[in-house]
Formats: sequence, structure tokens, C-alpha cells
Amino acid sequence: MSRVQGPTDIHPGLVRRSFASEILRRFPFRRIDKLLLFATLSLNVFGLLMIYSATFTGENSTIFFKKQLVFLVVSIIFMVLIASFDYRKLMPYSRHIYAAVIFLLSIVFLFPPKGGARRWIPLIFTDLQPSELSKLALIIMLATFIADRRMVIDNWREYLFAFGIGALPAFLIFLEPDFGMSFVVLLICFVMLLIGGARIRHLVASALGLIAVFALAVQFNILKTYQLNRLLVFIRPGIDPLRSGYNITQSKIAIGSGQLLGRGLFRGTQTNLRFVPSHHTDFIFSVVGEELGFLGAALLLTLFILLMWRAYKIASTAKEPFGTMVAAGILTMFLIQIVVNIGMTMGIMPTTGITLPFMSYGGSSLFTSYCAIGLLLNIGTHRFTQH
Amino acid sequence: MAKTRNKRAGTATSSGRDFGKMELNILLILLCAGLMAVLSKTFYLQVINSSHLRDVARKQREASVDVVPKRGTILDRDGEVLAISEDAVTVYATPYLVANPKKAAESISRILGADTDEIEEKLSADSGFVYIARKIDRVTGKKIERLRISGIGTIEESRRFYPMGKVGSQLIGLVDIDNKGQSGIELYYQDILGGRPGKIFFEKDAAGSPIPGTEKEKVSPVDGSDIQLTIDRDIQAKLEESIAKAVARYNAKSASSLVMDCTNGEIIAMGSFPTFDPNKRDNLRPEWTRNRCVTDIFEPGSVLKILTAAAALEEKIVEPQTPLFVPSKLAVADKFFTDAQVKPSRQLSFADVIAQSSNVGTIRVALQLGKDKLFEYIKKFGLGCRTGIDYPGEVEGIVLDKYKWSGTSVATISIGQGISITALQLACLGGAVANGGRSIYPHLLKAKISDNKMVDAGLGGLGDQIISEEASRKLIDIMVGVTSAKGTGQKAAVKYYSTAGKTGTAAKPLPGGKGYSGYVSTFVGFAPAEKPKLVCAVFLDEPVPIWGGETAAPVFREIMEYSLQHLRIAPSWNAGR
Repeated sequence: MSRVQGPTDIHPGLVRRSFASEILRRFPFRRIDKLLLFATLSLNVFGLLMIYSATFTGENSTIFFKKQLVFLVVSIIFMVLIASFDYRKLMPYSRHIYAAVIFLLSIVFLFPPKGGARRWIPLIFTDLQPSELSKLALIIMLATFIADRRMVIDNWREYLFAFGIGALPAFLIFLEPDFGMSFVVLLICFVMLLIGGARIRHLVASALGLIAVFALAVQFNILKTYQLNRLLVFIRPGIDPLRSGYNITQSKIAIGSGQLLGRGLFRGTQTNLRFVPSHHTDFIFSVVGEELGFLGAALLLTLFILLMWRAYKIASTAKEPFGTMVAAGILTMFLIQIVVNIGMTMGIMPTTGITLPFMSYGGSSLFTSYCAIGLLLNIGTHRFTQH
Repeated sequence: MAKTRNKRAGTATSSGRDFGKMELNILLILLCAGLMAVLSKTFYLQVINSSHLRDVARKQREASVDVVPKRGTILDRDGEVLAISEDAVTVYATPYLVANPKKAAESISRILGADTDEIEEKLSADSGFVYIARKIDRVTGKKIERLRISGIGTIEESRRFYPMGKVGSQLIGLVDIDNKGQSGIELYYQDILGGRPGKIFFEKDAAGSPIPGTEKEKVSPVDGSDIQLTIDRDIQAKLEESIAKAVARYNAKSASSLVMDCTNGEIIAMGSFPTFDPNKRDNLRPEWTRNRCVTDIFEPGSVLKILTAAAALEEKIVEPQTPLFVPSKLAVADKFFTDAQVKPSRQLSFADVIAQSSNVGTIRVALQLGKDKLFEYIKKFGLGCRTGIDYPGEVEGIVLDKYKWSGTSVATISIGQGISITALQLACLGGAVANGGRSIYPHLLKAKISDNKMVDAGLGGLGDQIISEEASRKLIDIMVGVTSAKGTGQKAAVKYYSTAGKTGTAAKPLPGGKGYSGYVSTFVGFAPAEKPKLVCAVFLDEPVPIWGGETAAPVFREIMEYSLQHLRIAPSWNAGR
């Protein structure tokens, strides 16, 4: 394995470098995927603007904006850190990362619920949402598992083991309860297994098994009523326009009233006037739609497409299965979140708490997304290296 | 997992299946499908269906609020306040903005003196807007404002207050919570009192609260004008007290009475019982708010004999001293008529016929007068028509057209049965006799006050000459006889004033027409007889005893005695006692 040749690599062993300069030396400036970085940062500026626009009217108007800026700084530092070492060194530690996240997912139940759900671990500055981190941990763990088996998981025992890696966090998240996130985690798992060479019949069988378990959960009232309601409202949002369907109806009105060109930045009345709930988090796309119109929404989608196209390139050009699997998993994660979140704001997906990457307000989500980008950049820079 | 542990990261991929391309295409397909779905839906909402959704959005936001103008004050003829608007404060809450409902409820209830739990419940309500207290006085409102609890707000409003309480309540009427006239004078003069509401158009947020800076248009309100009524609040109070006492004393169902200036039609006092306190509107029953003087009709009974007498005197069929043979009973068509207390046949002057309220004597005169003339005078005196008083809800009474009259109609109507009139119509009839024979247009509005200038309303007054002054004088003298020692209305005679009047005791028709049950006792009269000024009518519904001379007459005296003195009308030189 050859080492990245940094620009300052001229005094080997003579100068003791500081940690920061070591990181900067190792950060692969030249080989980095600049389009991916551009898409990421553009999306983030876009997102900050939208968060500011969505919250500047209320009391403490800039608090969300400022907090998100702090999250962003922390996230970018982590992205640089993650991009600066050889990602393959992660493989032996993937089990530890996975175990740590499972531990965090278990201790959320010790803290008081918010809005009927125990999804957060309160920290001093903000709340940590372990389910966000669990997506990345799962991707790394599954990628390691699949790479170890050389992308062939064709017997039952191995398939079940791999499936269990995804099912365990999904189950814990389901208990919080966070139906949407649980769904996302399972879907990432399925797509990665599919790419990782699992047999179709195994996948179908496990999916049917899950549906059976779900049916039993409904039968024995384990599933919360509001979760069922959300699914029902998803099918027909008109049935309850003032309660469960309110979010969707209001969001559609806001997006539609943006029309082709939008009402103008900071002028989105429907979203700013709190007709649309959670407009700075889950429903941030409504703000984009209302204030910037179809053109703004299309621009946003274009940036996402650019991001995912780069992720696809990185996945397909990676020189070994671990990199391919991690990049594919991250691509899947972004894709599911984007489609589910934007689809939700327009009533073509159920209402879930899935965030829009880089756009929605929220530290855990931003942190996870940047770590994922760090990994992608890392894999991207190593595509030239020999194995 | 054992295998994993043994493997080095770098060597894991050197062999194995040629992974990738095909499976990764799955990702591409998923990506395209998902993004296409999202993009096409966005296109549908924002381009195809957008104008509809934009309309929906606009309608959700648009709001306007009325700025209620200050309502005009209602004054009595001396300028005393009958109804006034005072500043009030309404306290409301936006529950989701109240951080600590328990603490907030405690501090608010301490000021309001209300139940803490009830307020806490309101503050914890799942709603964007609740009223905490409506239209409380300003001082209390300011105290709550000074607490500065977030989520608690106040609105300046105005509240109608009636300083006289029950007195004149039916006449003055009520306003609704938006200060719009609901009944009585408040309703009739809404246009003058109410002013013109202003309007502010603004945009509201999801909680319904206005967004600062979005006021688009503002129409300033125009305050209402004050009005002065012809009512005298002291006489009004006396009148209501008198009829309330009479209802209690004679165990009557209801009573109504009014005092009017017969020289110009000004209503001095007008009221009925049961009544209500307009400042306490809980448990208010609609029938209490009815001003029975204009809304309820009665068969008047013998008081209507003054109409028959006026017609006969004007047509010169009889003179006061004309002797009349009064038989014990008189057959008209298929019916026999007798006096109220059957008396033997006798000879009476026409004046005594009226003074003693002889049915038979009156009917004989009416028959001489004839159907056409009687009907003509009924119309001339305005029975069966609204008087046109400036008051809502007046009824016209029931007077059958003469071609519908039966054989006995002339007889019954001449003594006040088979015809229904209001107390106001009766007072107008009495007043027309008193003022020298001219019809009266009763009215309540004396003047309108705007910008500190008083403008006389110029309403009412006297109309056509119905009977000559000579006939009127003769009839007044006859009616003075009614209150004299030999008349039926002795108890109506007012101290220091010579009094003219007529009693009545009418059988009440059953609903539907056929038959009678119970009695209404009535009195109409005026004073001083030599130069009449005030006319007063009294109706008592089913008193015990039934006789007008025993029940309605004393009420008349009580009211008139006070009214004449209060208005400082010169006493009669010839009235004794």
C-alpha cells in the first residue's frame, strides 16, 4: 500500500508536526473529488439560507441558524479528519463502531421522552440522535461483512447473519419508536445486501418475514395508533385534513403557492406563519418550494443529483469491495432520505421524521451526512492507489 | 466472524467475484426512479396545480378585523344617561405560548377573583385562542396586562352600561356582544348610535394572530352620535314601580302603561311588567324584553266608549245632556246586551251613560251613529294602523273591515269588544280627545347630538283634526264625570288636578276567536282637564278584582300624580281634595 504524497512531505522524521498540520498534510487536496465537495457545500449554504428564512420571524429568531452553524463547523472538522486517513483502516474497527452505536441506541430508553418518543440522548449543547449515527455504523459494518465474503453471500446462514446486522438497529429504532428511520435502516440493509450478492429469494423471504412480524405487531397492538394513522393518512391525506393530514395538506399548499419562480427568499408566508409544522426540520423542502418555486426546487434536486452521481462514480471506481460497498451504502442512504423526505412534503410518501441531508436543521443529521461525505471523499482519493 | 478477524483489510479483495457493475446499476435505476417521482410531483404542484394552491394559501392567511366604533349615549329628556358605552378590556390567551399555565392561572385568578382551575384549564387548552374574560373593566384589564405573561393578551373593547338598571330596560333595549343594537331604541337608532365600524385588513399566522407589519388597509371607524329621548327617567321609574306593585297587589299576569304629552306626542314614560336588568344578562327570558305597550294587543273594553262618544258628539247625534232611555237589556241582531251589572230600565243623560259606563246606552247611541260612521271614526283615530312610533316591533292591532262586520259588530265594537288595540293606540285615542281633537304622532326621539351640537329630531306632533274642539271639550267634561264621585273611575282622580278618564273591563278572547276567558282591566285618562297635558293608559292583564275602576284606575292615579308634579304642571284651580 503506497502512501499519499503530501506537499510538505520533505522532512521525514525530522520535524515533529502538530496534529492539525499532520491532518492538513494528509488531507488529499489534489485528488479530492471537487465536484462532490462543491455539491455538498452548495447544498449546505442553501440549507443554512432556508433555515434562516424559516425561523427568522419567531422569537429568538437566529438561534436555529447559529446552532446549525456550530454543527456545521464541527461536522466539517470531522469530514476532514475522516477524509485524511486510509478508509480501509476502518475495517477492523467496524465492529467496535457498530457495538458503540447499538449501545447508544439502547440507552435512549433511559431518558425522558419528547413528543411521545425516546429518540434522543440529551447532551449539554444539544440532543444526540443515535439513530442518525446508526445508519453510517450499519453501512460500515455491513460493508466489512460483505467485503470479507468477497461479495458472495449465497448461503442461508451468512445471509441471515448479514440481515441481522441491519435488523438489530432497525428493531431498536422501531422501539423508540421511529418508524421512518427504522424503515430507512432496513432499506439500506436490503439494498447493500442486493448489491453485495445476496440471493433474490433470500431477500424476498426475509422481506416477507418482516411483513409477517409487522402484521403480528398490528394484531397484538404493539404498533402505536399514531403510526397506523400516519400510514392511513399517507394513503388518503384528505381523510383527516385538520389533524394527521394537516401537515401534508399545508405543505402541499405551501409548495404549490411557490409556483414557477417562488414568492421570493424570506417571503414564504405559509411556512413562516407556522401553517406548515416543523418547517425548519422535516418540512424544509416546503420552504424551498414556496420561496424559490419550481426553479429553486429543481436547483436543489440538481445539486442532490450531482452529489449522488459523484457517489455512484466513487462506488463504481473503487478498487476493492469495502470501498464499493461503503460508497453504495452511503448513496443508498442519501437517496432514500431525499426521496422519502421530499416525497413526504408532497404527499407521495408517508409522514416520517426523516431529514433532508444538509438542508434540515439538526446536528446529528448534519454530522452523519458530513461523516458520510468524508468517507466518500476518502474512497474517491484512493481509487488511484494500487491494492 | 472468525474469518473477519483473521483477514487484513488490504488483502480482502484480491480475489472473489467480479463485483459491481450489474448490481450497482440497480442503484442507478433506483436513483432515477426516485428522483423522477419527486421531480414530477414538484412540477405538478408548482406549475400545473399551482394557481389553485396559491388561492388556498391566500384564503388561509387573509383576515380582517372590525374596529368597533364608540357607541352613542342615550340620554333622557333632562340629559340624564340611560345607556352609555364604557371602555372595557377583553383578556385572551394563546395557550401554546403560555409556558407555565399553572403559575399564569394563579396570578390571573388572583386579579380576576375567578376560579384558578378553570383558568388553568383554559390556558392548557389545545387551541390557538381562548377568551379568559370578556369585557371586564379597564383597571382590572391593565393589571393583567402588567403581569406580562407571554401568551396572554388584551383587546380594548367597549361595553354597554345601563346606569338605571331595570328602569326603561325594555324601551332602551339591548346590544349584542359586538355592540350592535338588538332590541328597542338601541335597535331602532342603530344607524345613529352605532356609527360606522372601521376595518383593518391584515395577514394572520396559523394560530390566527395578526402578523405585525402586514396591515394592508385601514378604514377608520366613525363614532356613533348621542341621542336624547323624550323619556323622563324619574317618571319612567315611577311608572315601572307602580305597575310592578299593581301586578303584585292584584295578582295580575302582566301590565303595561305609558305616559304621553298629548300636545306634541312625546312619550314621557313607557313600560311593562315583567321586566329585566340589562346589566345582568344571564338567565334573561325573551318575553321580559318585550315592550308590551307596542307589541301586545288587547280588546280594550269600555275605554273605547270614548271613541263612540266622540263620534256621536262630533256628528251631533247626542249632546252631553241629551236624555236617553236605557233599557235593562237590548236586543241587537241575535244577541241581548245588558250593562256590566244588570240594572232596571232607566233614563240617563248621555254624560251619565259614559260616566256610569252603561253598555246599553252606548250601544243605542252607536246604533244611531251607524256602522259606516263608527268605522270611519275608528279609522280616523288610527285604530288598526301602526301609530308610526320610532320603535321597532309595533303591531297594528286587529280591526275588521266593515264589510266583514256581523249584525252585532256595531254594538260590540262600540263598547270595545271584537276589536284589538295596543296600549299606545289607546293613549293616542285619549290624547286626541284631550288635545282638542287632533290626531297624535307619538315619538321617542327628541334630539340627535353630534359634535356637541344638538339637533332637534322634529319627529311626531299633531295631525288632522278628527273631532272639533267643541266636541272635544264636551267629551272632556263627560270624562271628568267618570272620575267624579258618581263615575266608575273615582279612584283615578288625581290630587290637585282635575282628571278626565275612562275605565274599561274587557273579556279576553280565547286564542282562535271563539269564546272569552279572563279579563283585562284598562284605564285611559288625562290631566289637567281644563288644559290637558299628559295622557296615560294602563293595561292590567287578569287582575283580581277584574274591574278597571278598581285596579287600573289607582295605578293611573299614582303615575299621573307623580308625573304632573314632576313636570311642574300647574294644578287645577277647581280640583279639591
